[in-house]
Amino acid sequence: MTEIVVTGLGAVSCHGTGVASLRAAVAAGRAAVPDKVADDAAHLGTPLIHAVPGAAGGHHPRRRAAAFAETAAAEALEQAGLAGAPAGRIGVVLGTCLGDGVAGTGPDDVVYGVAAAVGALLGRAGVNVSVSNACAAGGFAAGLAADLIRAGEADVVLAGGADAYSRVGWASMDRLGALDRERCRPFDRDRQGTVLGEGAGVLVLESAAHARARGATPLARLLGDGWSCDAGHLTAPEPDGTQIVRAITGALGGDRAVGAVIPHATGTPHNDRVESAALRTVFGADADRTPLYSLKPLVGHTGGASAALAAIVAVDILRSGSVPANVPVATPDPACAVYLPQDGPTPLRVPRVLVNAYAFGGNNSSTVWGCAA
Amino acid sequence: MTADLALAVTATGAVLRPPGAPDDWFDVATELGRRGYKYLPPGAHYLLAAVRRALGTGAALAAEPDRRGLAVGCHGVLGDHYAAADRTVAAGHSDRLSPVTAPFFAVNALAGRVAGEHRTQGFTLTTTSPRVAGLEAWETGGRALRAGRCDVLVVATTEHGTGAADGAVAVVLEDAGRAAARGAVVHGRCRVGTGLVPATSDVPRATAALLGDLPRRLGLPDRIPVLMDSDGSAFADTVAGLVGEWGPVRPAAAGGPGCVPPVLAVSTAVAAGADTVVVSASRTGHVAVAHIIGPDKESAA
Repeated sequence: MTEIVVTGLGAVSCHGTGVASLRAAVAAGRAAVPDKVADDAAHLGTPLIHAVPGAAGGHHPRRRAAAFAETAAAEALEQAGLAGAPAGRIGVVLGTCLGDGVAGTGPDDVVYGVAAAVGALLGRAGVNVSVSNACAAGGFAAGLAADLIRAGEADVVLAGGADAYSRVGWASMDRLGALDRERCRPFDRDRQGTVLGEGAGVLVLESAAHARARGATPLARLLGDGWSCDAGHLTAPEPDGTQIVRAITGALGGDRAVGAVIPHATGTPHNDRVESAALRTVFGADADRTPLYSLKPLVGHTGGASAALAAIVAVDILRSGSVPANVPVATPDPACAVYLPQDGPTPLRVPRVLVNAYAFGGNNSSTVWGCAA
Repeated sequence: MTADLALAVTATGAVLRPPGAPDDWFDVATELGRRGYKYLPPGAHYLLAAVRRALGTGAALAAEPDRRGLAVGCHGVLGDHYAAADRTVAAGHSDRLSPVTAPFFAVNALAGRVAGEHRTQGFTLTTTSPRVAGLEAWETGGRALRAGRCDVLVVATTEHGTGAADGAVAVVLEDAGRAAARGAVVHGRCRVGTGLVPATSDVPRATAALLGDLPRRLGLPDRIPVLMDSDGSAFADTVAGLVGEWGPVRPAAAGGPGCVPPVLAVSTAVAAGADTVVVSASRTGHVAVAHIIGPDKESAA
């Protein structure tokens, strides 16, 4: 099978622009304090957000997610040595849940323009896929990119996701009782839901042969990915976690050993319980010594970007050989039997990191990332 | 990449707004049943009904649940819903939103509803590029099928708010050899390729490059009739001019805004049974090319 490597990373989050700002936040390990939604017309019970600061979102509220994606993609291209006018067949697969604002749209309004915005950054014709598998979109984007490369239809794919504030998106999650009134605190007994955030994550995925031929430095490898669908409740995972397990095992292939897991872990009571149980089903007793790194307390739930930002952190874990300390969990939930180290970094025992992403509609995606060979 | 990678179309279904029909043209109770559907967004109604029509009454997809895939392409289908929800929140409060429709802030809830009804547990994908989203779903879902992620794939598109072009179209795809082995009727085969010509590029040159690459990817013959699905934009005119080199170009019959016309053009061409290419182009620079191979060419695959 075609080997796929990562040669570039780009990130935008509530900590600012650039992978370095995300990396610094991970190293600091302090819970992010949510902002109040800056929208006077948003009449919400829980008006919290992890907003991207500064000018990264541009100046047009209907292009904010696209601007995040462009910024992250530019950074990733630069690191990959593909900025300017790169040669080869370059595709784009960008995930987004909310697109660029979902209010007042019609068939001719361009709402889901995030992927096209990154295509515009390339300034050339090519494959360009907009995937909207909600909060798992970034994970599915990686899988779709892998399919494109393995089918021989692209040499390089910019894969990831982006989402920005949307009044309808925030209000709908509020109506569904899915938001926490304090902060995002997965696996805490007192968790009430998630806190939504803005952001973008983009990875340059490339066939190893193409990267080698142009002298690029691989940062990591995409070892596998798995998909499934609960085909059940629209907004909650099936309690038995069968399809979540199937997505994880599909990504792992024949080797169930991993050194760390970045779970989806939104802070929603039911979801965290189901994911905990699914991980124990897959890893058995090894779950007790397989560290989880829970990213959302740091950046919030960034929707279509969440799996891409998690994959970027996975690459950092692989390159450093160390799993960062988690944001402290005040009152661990005994119903979530997970190993969540909080006192300091944990050595990475096995050079494989699992990233999970789940979404409304029962969409499940898992990816496994490995060290560059 | 050649035409022998085209997937067999084993079923099609459509729910289309009849010409001149009033806005309440779709009868939810008759099409879907009296319980559990009434309050869903119209785009969900159309989608569920089109998939049911494709599968036939009481029929199931011919694969185990975890080998079934679903790819839905749409763009503005929930525009009315979003606008109404936005008004509710701005003038009132989020707690006045309906809990039944609130999940549809995520457009993939449409696919999730279909997946639940047909136990589609392999995967669902939702693609959302303007106009070509349905064919984008066909391409990405088809590639996923060929990668072994499912055995049977439903591809569908749905639109609401377009006026005359409201409705949904669904097709069922599988490997041609598998379809033949189980004795399924194959209406034709089809393979789709899509791409974007960004406005930041040298558009004439980039368009020509894309329209040079797609026939190679799809294994198009030297001459083939072309059905052109256009949104009336200058870019679509450019594309129509260039594909004139492939063969005689006729406008696709459906027309109208949104994502349904291109997929309807393909499913209609499949039903017609002749080798054809459907080309769709949007003012946003999105292009899709669908190569339809008639059922009488099965032995050549």
